[in-house]
Amino acid sequence: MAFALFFDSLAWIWRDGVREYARGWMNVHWFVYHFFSMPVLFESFFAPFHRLRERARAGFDIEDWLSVIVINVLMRIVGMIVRTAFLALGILAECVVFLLGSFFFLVLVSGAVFVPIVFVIGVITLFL
Amino acid sequence: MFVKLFFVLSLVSFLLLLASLFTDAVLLPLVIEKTPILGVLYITTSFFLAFCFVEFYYRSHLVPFGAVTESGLRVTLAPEAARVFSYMGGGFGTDIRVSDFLAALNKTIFLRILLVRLGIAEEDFALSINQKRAVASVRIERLLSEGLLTLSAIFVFCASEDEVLKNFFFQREVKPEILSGAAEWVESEIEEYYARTRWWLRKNLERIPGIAKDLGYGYTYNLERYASEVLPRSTRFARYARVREIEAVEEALARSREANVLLVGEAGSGKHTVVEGFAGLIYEGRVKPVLEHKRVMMLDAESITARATTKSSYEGVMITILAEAVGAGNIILVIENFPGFLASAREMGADALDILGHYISGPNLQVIALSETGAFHRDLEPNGLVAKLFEKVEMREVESNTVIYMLESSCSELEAATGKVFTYQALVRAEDLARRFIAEGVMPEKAINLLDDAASMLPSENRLVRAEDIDAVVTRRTAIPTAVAEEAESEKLLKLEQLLHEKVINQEHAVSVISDSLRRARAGLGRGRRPIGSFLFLGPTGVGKTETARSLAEIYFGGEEAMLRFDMSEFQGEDGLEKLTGSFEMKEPGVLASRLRERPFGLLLFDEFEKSSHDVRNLFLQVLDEGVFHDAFGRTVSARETIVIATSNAGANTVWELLKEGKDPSEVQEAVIDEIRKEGVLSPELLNRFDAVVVFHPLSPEQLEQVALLLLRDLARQLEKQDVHFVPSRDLARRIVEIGYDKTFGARPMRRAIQDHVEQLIARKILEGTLKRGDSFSFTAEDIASL
Repeated sequence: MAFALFFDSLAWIWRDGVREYARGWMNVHWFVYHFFSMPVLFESFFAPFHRLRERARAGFDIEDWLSVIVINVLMRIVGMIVRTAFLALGILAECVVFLLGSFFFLVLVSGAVFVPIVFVIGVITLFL
Repeated sequence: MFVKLFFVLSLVSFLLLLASLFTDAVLLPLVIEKTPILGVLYITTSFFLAFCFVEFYYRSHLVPFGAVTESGLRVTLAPEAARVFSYMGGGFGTDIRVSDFLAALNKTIFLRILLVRLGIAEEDFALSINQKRAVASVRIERLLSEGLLTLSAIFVFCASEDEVLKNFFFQREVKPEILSGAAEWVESEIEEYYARTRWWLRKNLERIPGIAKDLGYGYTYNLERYASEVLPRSTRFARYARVREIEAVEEALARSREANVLLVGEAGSGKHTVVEGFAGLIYEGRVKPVLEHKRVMMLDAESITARATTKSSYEGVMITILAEAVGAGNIILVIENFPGFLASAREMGADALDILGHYISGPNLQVIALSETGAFHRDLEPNGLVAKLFEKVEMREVESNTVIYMLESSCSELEAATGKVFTYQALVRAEDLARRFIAEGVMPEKAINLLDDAASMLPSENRLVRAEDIDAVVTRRTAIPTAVAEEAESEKLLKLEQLLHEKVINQEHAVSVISDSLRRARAGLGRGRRPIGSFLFLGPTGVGKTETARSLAEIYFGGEEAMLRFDMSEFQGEDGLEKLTGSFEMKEPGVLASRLRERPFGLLLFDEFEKSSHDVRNLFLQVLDEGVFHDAFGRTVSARETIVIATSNAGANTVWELLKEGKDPSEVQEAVIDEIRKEGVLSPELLNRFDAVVVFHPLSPEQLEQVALLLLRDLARQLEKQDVHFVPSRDLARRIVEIGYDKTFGARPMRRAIQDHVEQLIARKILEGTLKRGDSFSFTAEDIASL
């Protein structure tokens, strides 16, 4: 019974397990992408911070124009800095998910061999 | 606990090992160093990886998988079914040994939960597993076809084929549809539980709210003074009921331009649930990409009109907040009672729709406007700009089956909150009674409230909420004896003639027609979309029409107080309909609508029906046909749990004449109905809508005597309460007929004659002291002569 279960699980891993794992892995990537609101941050990357902006008064006033331009540029820069921070965190998280996902994927497909090897290395390290 | 501890320890080992690998950068030196700690780390890491492997396998492989039967047919087994077959050991065949199947089922959590949901003790069921069976196996060939084969389907099939199981459930009053519903519920509960453990599924991950969503949008300081954010407060199960409307709202709002919604439905139909459900979609990140990160804000229109006293100040506030909302770029504004909002602006001379139109035709600001059905047809439908700017979404009625599914999904939350467990029968009962007897509120909230109340009413030592507990709650809230109404109905229907004749003298034909019609209306057809029964009683005054109605109320609904009587001569003017259904302008509820809301279960008697106005009679076309009507405020009022009786004296002369000619009662009936139809007293379509038109005949002297005796027995019952035993005699009854009978008013004046003569005499005897408590007496010949 135990042997049957063991071989059944191995067969399942290589038959359906890989597909299930890949689907789950992609879901985690999707989650991280949305958790850090990356789509909206990319879309509004150059937009002013919280859409705060000044408008020039009617008529030609160079001083007013320049101050409006400076404030609006500053607002955009502040917005970009804040968004960059969140985007950087998101990209870092995506990288970690990718690396861990790859590692566990390898463990999954080679688990039948890899896990016993790690165990044996442990025993050798401990007792020999 | 041990498993969790082991998992955490092995995870820590794994992380330590990873750290050491990366710090030394090379694997080999670590192996060569051979430190004992490193060895332990490797071993525990191998355990951790094996643990992950087993967990992933255990949680993931429990998905439907294909199986091939002995006859070569490919079948997809649902996870729970597959589990039971794996416990049975053998392959999956077309025959199932019932005892093996039940033994395997006994190892599963499915059976234990199912028995709880059916309110059956485990020990009871265990006995049925080992009972001897005449036929050991059940052929499940009929179940084997394309698609998913579920454990609930197999179990219900076995319970219908195997005599032992069939008797077991029959004795416990578990009907096949209840068993099937409960089994499906339990199986879906188990599957949902396993789905939740697979945390990597999109539907589990999308429930986790994200961060930094508002960075791309503007501030809304002014708007927030007049609006508040809509949070997904309505429960998940309430949203299931409105999933179609929520999807329609999402679809309309996802359009590129003029993407605004006008949500139209009756008061209390759940428009807020739809708005909250849509807000929930955004919150959970399950909305269409174009609507992601939107904020749903409820506008407090009353606060704007209260602060803005002039047209210019009103327009100023509106323009400020709308411009800000457009600037923010992610606002969906909800405007409650949209017709009222436009009307209050109009009173100040402002055109709110015109102002809105400038801002909501683009993609930066969207509106969900709410309106009641009546107000929509009256104020909004004729307006072309409304049609241009808004997409209409109508609220639909929730079907019974859907409500049951919603109650099932609500149970986990309710059970967690109340600490009680609900049987499936309790859910079905809650749905049924809430729909029939609770007038206020909407489904499924009405039914959920019943479940909640039943759970809180239950003594702390009793954990199981059963159907009877729901009955008790409804009876407490509405004073309707629901349990009595249900269980004794078939018995009452079978003996209806006999019961009616105890109270109604003669009128054999009428009683028989009424009884047959009620039986026909109720037998086998279940609760329909019409009243329980509807009758038109025709005939002269004082022949027993009202008495029959009163007797029906007593027999069928348990008391005379269940009869609501309306004198229709009061509803003959132009305002007749308003009096019955209410007046929107005067904000007055209608008498029929209010009485039905207070007591939706009973007998409605409409005396002198032909005198009501044309509009009132038209209202009855709908009541008799659909069992519902709408009051002046657009609310649905149900008369489906009532018996409707209309009486009329029309055709009374024809009855007299034909009976004098010695015609048969059925011939008289046809002639009277023909006459009414020809004379246009009632329209043919109205006559056809009654379950039966019943003609009552004048009473003969002997029958009048019997009526008088019945009335005297009523008096005797009254005197019995004062410990005075009165024995009515035939002579006395005959004398009452002589005094009280009148050809025009029939037997009606006899009641007055008893009051004026018999009761007077008894009162005098009591006052004189000749009649005392404990005495037994009857009227002597002198007494009778003196009347």
